[in-house]
Amino acid sequence: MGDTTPFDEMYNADGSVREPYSALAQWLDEQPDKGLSLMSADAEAIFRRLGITFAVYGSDEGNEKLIPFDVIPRIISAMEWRRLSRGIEQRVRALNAFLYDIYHRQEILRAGRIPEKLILQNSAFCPEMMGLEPAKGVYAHIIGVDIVRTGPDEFYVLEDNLRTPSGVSYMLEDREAMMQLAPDLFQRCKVAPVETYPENLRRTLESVAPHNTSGAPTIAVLTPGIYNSAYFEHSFLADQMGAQLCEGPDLFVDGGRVYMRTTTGPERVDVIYRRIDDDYLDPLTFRSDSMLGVPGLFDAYRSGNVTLVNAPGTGIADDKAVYTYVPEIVEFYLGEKTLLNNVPTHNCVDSDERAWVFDNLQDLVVKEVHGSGGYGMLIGPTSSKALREEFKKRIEARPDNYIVQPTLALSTCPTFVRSGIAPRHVDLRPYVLIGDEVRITPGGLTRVALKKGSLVVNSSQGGGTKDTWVLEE
Amino acid sequence: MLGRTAQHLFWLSRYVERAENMARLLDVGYRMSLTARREGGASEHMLSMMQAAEVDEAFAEKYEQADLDSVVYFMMFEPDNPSSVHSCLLAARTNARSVRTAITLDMWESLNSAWLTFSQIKPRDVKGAKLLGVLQWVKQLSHEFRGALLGTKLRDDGYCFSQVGNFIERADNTARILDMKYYVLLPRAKMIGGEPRYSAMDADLAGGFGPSQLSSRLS
Repeated sequence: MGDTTPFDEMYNADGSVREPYSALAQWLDEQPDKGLSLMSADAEAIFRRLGITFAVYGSDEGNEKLIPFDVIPRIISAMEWRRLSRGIEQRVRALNAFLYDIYHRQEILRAGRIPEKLILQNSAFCPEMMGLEPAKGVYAHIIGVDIVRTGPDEFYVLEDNLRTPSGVSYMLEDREAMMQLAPDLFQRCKVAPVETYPENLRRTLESVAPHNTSGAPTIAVLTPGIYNSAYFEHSFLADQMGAQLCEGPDLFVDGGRVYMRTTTGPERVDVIYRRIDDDYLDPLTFRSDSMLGVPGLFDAYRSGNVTLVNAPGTGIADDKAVYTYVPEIVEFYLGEKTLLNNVPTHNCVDSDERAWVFDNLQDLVVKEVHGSGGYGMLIGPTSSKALREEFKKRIEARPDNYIVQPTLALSTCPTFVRSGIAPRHVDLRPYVLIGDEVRITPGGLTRVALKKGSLVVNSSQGGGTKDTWVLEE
Repeated sequence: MLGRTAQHLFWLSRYVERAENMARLLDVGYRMSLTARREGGASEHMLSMMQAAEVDEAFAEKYEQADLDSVVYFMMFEPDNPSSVHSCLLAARTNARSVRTAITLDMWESLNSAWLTFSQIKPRDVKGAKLLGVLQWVKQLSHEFRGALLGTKLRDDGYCFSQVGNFIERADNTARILDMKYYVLLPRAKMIGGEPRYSAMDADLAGGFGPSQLSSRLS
């Protein structure tokens, strides 16, 4: 697959410009020689001054870094977006129905559509959630769906992120920066706004407040604190929503209700948008050594006195092993065919399949079932022989810990790099909010692999971001 | 407002004010040391200045002699000196980061850009005549932050906690300077009515600058 030219978002194979990009192409032509590099420097100054940073764990150079921002936007036409958003909505509805079922009657397991073992023995399955009725029946309120493109009409879902996906603040700040840098370009294109996200998030959170809330619900964002890699985002979202940004010790549970410690005494909290993992939420229910959580929080949640967003245990729906069953899930709960395809995925448990995987490892991508952030991955075409042998050993030892996918020729998008404008691989993470209704922000976060030929777009691995435009008709 | 937020706002303002005070003290100490006639006089001025900042003991643990370079380094950059400009700005920024939702964008940007600029300053940038320029800049960043606070912060409880931090720090520093002027630099305590009498509470309010540290200097 490596030698064919991947689909480019901006240029057709014959070098002509694809329609959604025509205004951008013209604008790029008009820029003076140093225009883009000055713009890049300006962008970096803007981000640094605003303190839009993230932390890379285990990195030596200080603990705050900037995610590189590329000044050339990625553009999606209205028609493409309509198709994508329909597919996304279908998926998130089905996944929530799946979660409800898994934590109630487990019809899908009884029907034999998904092996029981895969769910019940999965570490992402949360038995504490059995029988619990979340407000409006919603488990995953905030979902980031990772989508890649390989052709004009070929989109694949790489991953559904149901465990507090991050990056939405970059989507918003990228737009802010782009509007400052190239206001004239916005005048030529009708770009759908993304600034509505924080307001929509607030509405979504309010819509899932507990029944016994009196008056307007009080919302808190629960963060592990300033040393967390996504702290900027936590504070940004709290600020934009007008919610309180709390750390575990700021909250306490009394009489089954959650309160925050304020300068004027305890104040009841109705909805918690938590950005800490399930395991750390409540030392009385989950990990007892957690210093980040709130003792008694889960009991308050079970009693229906507070809503946790996302609900604990949603990880069972974005587990990489369950991912293969999403088409089944969509069909089972909605009676529809999936509109967005999965990447064909192999497991290594079956010995025939494993043998095939080993023979073709140089063309495949191997991922850990519970891995994230681009760590613990093997990318066949760019890997060394030694690394492939190493992975064979690992797979042999724990076949159920890995999934294998073909190396997709991710689409490329023109990107401003040191040598000028060059194609780099991109993916797309649209953000979906699910409460009283499903709200999808037009666009999302485009991540771009800045290294030539690289397919890894994760910010922890040297990826950058682009502003993502959905054109309005 | 969260109790923790109030705490961060209080300390945030205190540290900005302290950075400014450290710059002012260093400025005065440096000027005095330039005009010192007696041998060793320069070092004495530096020491009295560090006493006013109550960092003289920490300094003595690290250095034997109070020469200009080591004092300037200790007051400006020393991470182990909790009152160095470096430590103050870092602490101020860390506090600000913890309560970004409670401060305005202007307040945050003034602190963040101050910290980013300061991290670029190297000891060689404050040698000789360049020192006064950098100290002037430190004072100005404090003015800028205060300006952002006064100009953009809602007059709510958070504003009050910020101001309380600011004024307590200022009062604390003023009290130390007075102490210094009356009991250390004067030849005899009798000239101003005898030795100081601190109650335990006074000493606490003055940041622990009690009689024990002073007695050696009193005649």
